[in-house]
Amino acid sequence: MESLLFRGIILGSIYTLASIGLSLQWGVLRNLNFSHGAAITFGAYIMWSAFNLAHFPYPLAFVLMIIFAFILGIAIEWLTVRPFFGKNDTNIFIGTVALSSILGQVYFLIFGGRQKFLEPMFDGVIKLGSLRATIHEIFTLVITFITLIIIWLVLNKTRIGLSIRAVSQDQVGAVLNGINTRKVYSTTLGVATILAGIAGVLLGPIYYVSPHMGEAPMVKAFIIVILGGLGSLPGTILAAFIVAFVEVFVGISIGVTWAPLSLFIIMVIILVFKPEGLLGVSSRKA
Amino acid sequence: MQEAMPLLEVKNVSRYFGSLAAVDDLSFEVCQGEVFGIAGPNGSGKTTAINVITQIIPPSKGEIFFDGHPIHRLKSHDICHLGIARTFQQPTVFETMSIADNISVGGTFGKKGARDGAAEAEICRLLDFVGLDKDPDTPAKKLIVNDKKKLMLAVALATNPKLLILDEPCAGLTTVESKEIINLIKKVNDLGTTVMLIEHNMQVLMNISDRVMIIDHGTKLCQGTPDFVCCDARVIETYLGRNSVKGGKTFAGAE
Amino acid sequence: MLTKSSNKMRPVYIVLVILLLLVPLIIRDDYLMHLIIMTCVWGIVATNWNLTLGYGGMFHIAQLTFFAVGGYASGIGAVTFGASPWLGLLIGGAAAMAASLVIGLPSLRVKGIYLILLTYAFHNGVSELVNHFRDYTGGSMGLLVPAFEAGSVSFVTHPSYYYYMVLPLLLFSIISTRLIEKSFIGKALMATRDSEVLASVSGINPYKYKLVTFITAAFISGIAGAFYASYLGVIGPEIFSFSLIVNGLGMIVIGGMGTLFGPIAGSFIITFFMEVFSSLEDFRPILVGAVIILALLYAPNGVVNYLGEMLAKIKSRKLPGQARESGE
Ligand SMILES: Nc1ncnc2c1ncn2[C@@H]1O[C@H](COP(=O)(O)OP(=O)(O)OP(=O)(O)O)[C@@H](O)[C@H]1O
Ligand SMILES: [Mg+2]
Repeated sequence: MESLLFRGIILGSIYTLASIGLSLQWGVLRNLNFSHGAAITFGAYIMWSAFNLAHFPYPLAFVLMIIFAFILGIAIEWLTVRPFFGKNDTNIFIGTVALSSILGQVYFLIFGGRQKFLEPMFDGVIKLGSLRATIHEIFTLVITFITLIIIWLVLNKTRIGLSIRAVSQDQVGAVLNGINTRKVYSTTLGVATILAGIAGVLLGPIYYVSPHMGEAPMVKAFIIVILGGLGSLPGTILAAFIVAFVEVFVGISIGVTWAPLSLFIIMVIILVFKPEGLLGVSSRKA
Repeated sequence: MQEAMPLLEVKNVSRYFGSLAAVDDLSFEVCQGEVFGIAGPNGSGKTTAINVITQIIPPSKGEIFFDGHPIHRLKSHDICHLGIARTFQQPTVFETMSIADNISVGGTFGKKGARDGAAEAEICRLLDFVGLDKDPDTPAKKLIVNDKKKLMLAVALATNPKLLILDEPCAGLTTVESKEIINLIKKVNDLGTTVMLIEHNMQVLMNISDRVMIIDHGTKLCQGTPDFVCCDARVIETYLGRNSVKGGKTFAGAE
Repeated sequence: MLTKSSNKMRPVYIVLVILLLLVPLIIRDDYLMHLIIMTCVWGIVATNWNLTLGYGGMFHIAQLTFFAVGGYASGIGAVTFGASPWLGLLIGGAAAMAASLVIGLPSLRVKGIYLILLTYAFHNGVSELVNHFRDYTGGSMGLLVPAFEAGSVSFVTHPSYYYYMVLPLLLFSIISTRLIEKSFIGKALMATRDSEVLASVSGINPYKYKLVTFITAAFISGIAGAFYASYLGVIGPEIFSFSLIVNGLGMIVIGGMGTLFGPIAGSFIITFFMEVFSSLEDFRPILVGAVIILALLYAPNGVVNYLGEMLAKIKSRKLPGQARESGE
């Protein structure tokens, strides 16, 4: 029982990281990014390369991953969001879908279809009472916690963070107050992609790294941001844990293939009956 | 005219957006055949009130009756079939469709069961009526704002409404253009259509309306004949005190 | 004005259809025939997708779900219940129609990103269902679906037979799109696409018209899916893959969203593009993705509109006076 609970918490942490980027992006751009899954994969592959090909130490590889992920995020914004922003939402959708398929194929060409094992920073197992946990799991918890605190600090204490919050509250007002929205948009996507990349790095040692490894977590991240209420960070975190627990408990009690099905059922129910999500504010109509 | 039966009855209607009560326990009646004017400062809930009546946004609380039917649980299109048409504050038309097609949408779907579409003559009549002097095949997106407003009015009229609700039809127009619209509204009313008009310009509103309601913070401040409303102290306070630039001058002009 | 121009075009269309009917007599190469048949199959999916997406403004990805459901339904019908592939066409269409009700009833109440996500969720949900009931669906192996037969003649050796099956379906898709576009349903649909709020206060029930169109488009796509399964002889979970969504959207975008012939042009372009660059193998998805993004950036209205504009420009250069007149 405790071990299930613990697995739920670990999974919930990773899902939190995988989805708050999307939520942040919705807040600022009122759009979702279908190359988010490719960004998750990106983090895992960069980490794997830095670690196994360049033989960088883990912390350096991690920093490198963050820098590359930020650049990727800016590229995504520049290529598939900026040209259509405010004009044609469907083109943003199609553009990010196309970009996602490009990236997936690029990974395939570079790394091949074979699954790769991303080594965790710390190997080994520890016992906490009756609970057996890998050190990577503890590491996951710590990293998630630190990342969330950094995100909170960035959003509340830095200039760019305040701009991001200002834009997500009031687009027009932010422009009137002299905020450079272009910069805010690309930074937001950069940050969202970093978060996705970290999620990929943490997922790597649990699942294997493969060209499309990010797609399943992306689908879950979509479910999570909907469930939590688009644009609501607390809602997103809450929903990430709900989804993780549902997945773990349904998987154990009814069967593994039922877990994704039950998530889809939840998402359909939420979207139909409470599209603003658990903690979301009702969206503007008309 | 004041004694006529109420065509529209709004009873204790509220609409909340989160913790904001955009419309707050609002009640009023619109009588058969009159021009009912609504004014109020920016953000006072005028647009929300008519959005709630036409079910663009469902009310949080309260009841609305039209022609004896309860309409607060109906859908927008059913309400249109019962005989309420409206325009929007932002000029809204079917951009990719031609002028003629725009109008024929109103004619085709405005009445329950009608599918044959508005005849060409009817389209020409409406275009002539609203004073839109353009080739009916012109795509609506090519129109300038003023013409879009006229087209929007023509679409609403094509549904053959009993009650026409207009949301600031004169906003952003020149004095000459406003006069044109006001004359149009008078003409519509003379032909027997009840009109509910939201208008910022007090002079215009007082001139055309049979009765006027002033709202602020989603509640009714006062209501009555234009003369009565002009003398209400709270109205003077609202318009002179908090909204002195826009309303104040025009209000003084109405005296 | 519109009726006049379509009257003028009528002989052109008739000649075109006759030419299309003659294709198997001209093209003797089996592989080329295969490509043309695939173009038609994807043309059907894209045309119907475009009906809901381009004309109806419903941004969804359920069209591929319907295609897959059609394929699997006829496959299960054949393998588990021994139904002939001919009956399979009907089973596929009916199953896709049922799926469109299940998906459309809740999904079409929401719009924008919610509609995309909801249909994406259903797409993945159906794929999970296929994975779950592997006794019937063959799981990751998929199902082997029998080929069409007429009497004792198997179609396998006669690509032209397949062509004569799929061509009417494609023409039917185009004609039904055209008929819907010209009817009051199309008017309601396009009005809703332009402004749902104005449409509903003008007496249109947006939900009703969206649902009707959604179901119609699903039915035809389901038949196409059944055809596809039987034509290729196999249906597997790859039908749910992300890259098919990309290709399908690409066809519509490259060809021209909301145009009658755009999706077919798009499916032709993508199918043959994949073929021409077949030596590039794994680089192709990258190229397709890049072409889609380039099309979004530089020809956002699609090639059909692009060509139309070019034609109009050339015309107006030749006959300046006349063009100005008709442009008014
Ligand atoms: N869909 C919505 N979601 C959240 N808040 C809303 C929504 N629509 C209106 N509001 C808020 O409700 C209040 C009333 O707005 P409304 O548009 O009804 O005012 P109004 O009287 O029409 O103002 P104006 O004269 O500027 O047109 C405003 O504070 C507005 O911000
Ligand atoms: Mg207003």
